[in-house]
Amino acid sequence: MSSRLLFSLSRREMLQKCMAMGAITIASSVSRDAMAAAFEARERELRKPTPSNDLGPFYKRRAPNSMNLRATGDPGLPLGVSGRVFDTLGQILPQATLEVWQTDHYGHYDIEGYRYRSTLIADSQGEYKFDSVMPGHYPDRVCQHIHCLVTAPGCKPLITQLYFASDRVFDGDPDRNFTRDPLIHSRELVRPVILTGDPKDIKAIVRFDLCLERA
Amino acid sequence: MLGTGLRGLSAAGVLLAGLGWAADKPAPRQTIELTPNAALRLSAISPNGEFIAGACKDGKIRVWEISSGKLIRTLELGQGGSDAESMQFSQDGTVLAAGGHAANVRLWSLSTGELKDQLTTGAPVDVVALSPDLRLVAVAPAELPVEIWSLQEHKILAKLPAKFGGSAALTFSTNGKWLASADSDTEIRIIDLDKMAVRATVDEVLMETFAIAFTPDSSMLLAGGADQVLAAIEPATGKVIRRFVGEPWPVSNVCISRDGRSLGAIYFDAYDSAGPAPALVWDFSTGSVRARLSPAKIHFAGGANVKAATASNQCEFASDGKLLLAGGQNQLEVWTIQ
Repeated sequence: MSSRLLFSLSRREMLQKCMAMGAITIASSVSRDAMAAAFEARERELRKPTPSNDLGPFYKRRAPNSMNLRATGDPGLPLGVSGRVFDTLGQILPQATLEVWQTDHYGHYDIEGYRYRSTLIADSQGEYKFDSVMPGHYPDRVCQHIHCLVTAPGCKPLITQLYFASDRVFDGDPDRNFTRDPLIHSRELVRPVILTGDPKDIKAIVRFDLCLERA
Repeated sequence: MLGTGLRGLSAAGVLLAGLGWAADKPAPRQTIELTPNAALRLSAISPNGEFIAGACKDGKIRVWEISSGKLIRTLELGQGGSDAESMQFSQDGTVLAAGGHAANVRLWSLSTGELKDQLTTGAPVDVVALSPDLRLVAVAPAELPVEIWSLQEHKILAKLPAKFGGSAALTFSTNGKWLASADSDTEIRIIDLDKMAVRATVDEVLMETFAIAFTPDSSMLLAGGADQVLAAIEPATGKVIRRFVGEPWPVSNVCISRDGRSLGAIYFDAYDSAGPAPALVWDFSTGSVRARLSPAKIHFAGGANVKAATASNQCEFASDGKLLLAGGQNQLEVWTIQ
């Protein structure tokens, strides 16, 4: 069963199918329906929309479609960002549009052109990815960040920002220190950073799934 | 005599100072300390340059007469009033409107100080604007589409489409034909008020606009924002007719003189909130810069906080051609640009 098909079933249909096939066993004196309802509620709770975050002053529409924001020789730690776009019902959103923009390694936005700006389209599995560099520290902001505007038919647009657990501002403890940037209202937006490659060719990898509210 | 005047005004909580000016390096004619005890959160200057209103941190709106520096009105905002987010004078300067977190718009008569009217918007108000005939109020509720309200009927006549909600600035044309909305989705929408429908959008401005103003004859809309350019736009088509390039920073406010000859803009340094925030004055017909002003005494709000910059940093030409600049703390500077 493809993940697309799985997500196309209603939650109730999926539960019934799982129960019939023995994939879910009710080990409780509570009724099957009550357990199914509780399961549904818990699932819904787990699919909270991605917290929104400020648009900021540097959004520029009509960014070109490019999965590679980093030009050869650009300074900065190479960065790969990927994720899946889905809605609060758990349905993946193929063809969702993501607009991303960030500073370069030195913390500057390109106003005149479209450096470090892109419009991405999620694939049939709702997956997106792009290569860039770790953004610099923008002088009037506390933390490194990448802006993201996500739109999909039937969903409310999501304006948010991605932050990095490796940011020196967090002193290695983003759980405790994420509020050092007054614009970060949710710990959820601070994502773990995985370093890959060898010391001569190191790259940071970040996963940032995006959950949109239904319109 | 000047000293006596200063002492008298200081006793009233107002200080006039900063006289002096040189042709090669303009300086303010006058600096008015507006609030010794309650700093401003946001301010608005009346279109005729007669009054300045400040929403103060003590929850009151105060209105000063600019020519004398006298406090003429203290308006109570009521519950939630300390969170006022937007103020605008009517074009004749007789009415002041304010909206904010209390999810309403209030209109006061300046001649009496009475609360004239109140609209309950159902959502916090980021921006408010009054039509010249005071029949319409345009409201930008936080992160929601712009609404056009009838003051007489207290109902919404139109909601503007937007890719996503929020608006940084709203303004009516002086002839009452157009409403312009600088929306967060970076579109500038120009609404034909006869049809209550969008007449044009501006294709050539690609970044968010923070400041808009119509020319006195309503023939052009001036818009400035993140792309650091002031664009003169034809309302009926949305075409950019002219561009004014000045400082390498975003524009937080724009104004045009009553005779249509001078154009003013305030910039803010988005990379350094404590950095300079100059104002430029152009000759509108030639596009040449007439003056570059560095308000030394005013600490402009700004930096990454665009909202603070656009709310607090105000400019307006007085009817006699003087340029008025208000900053984010508690001062108003009056400049004379020859």
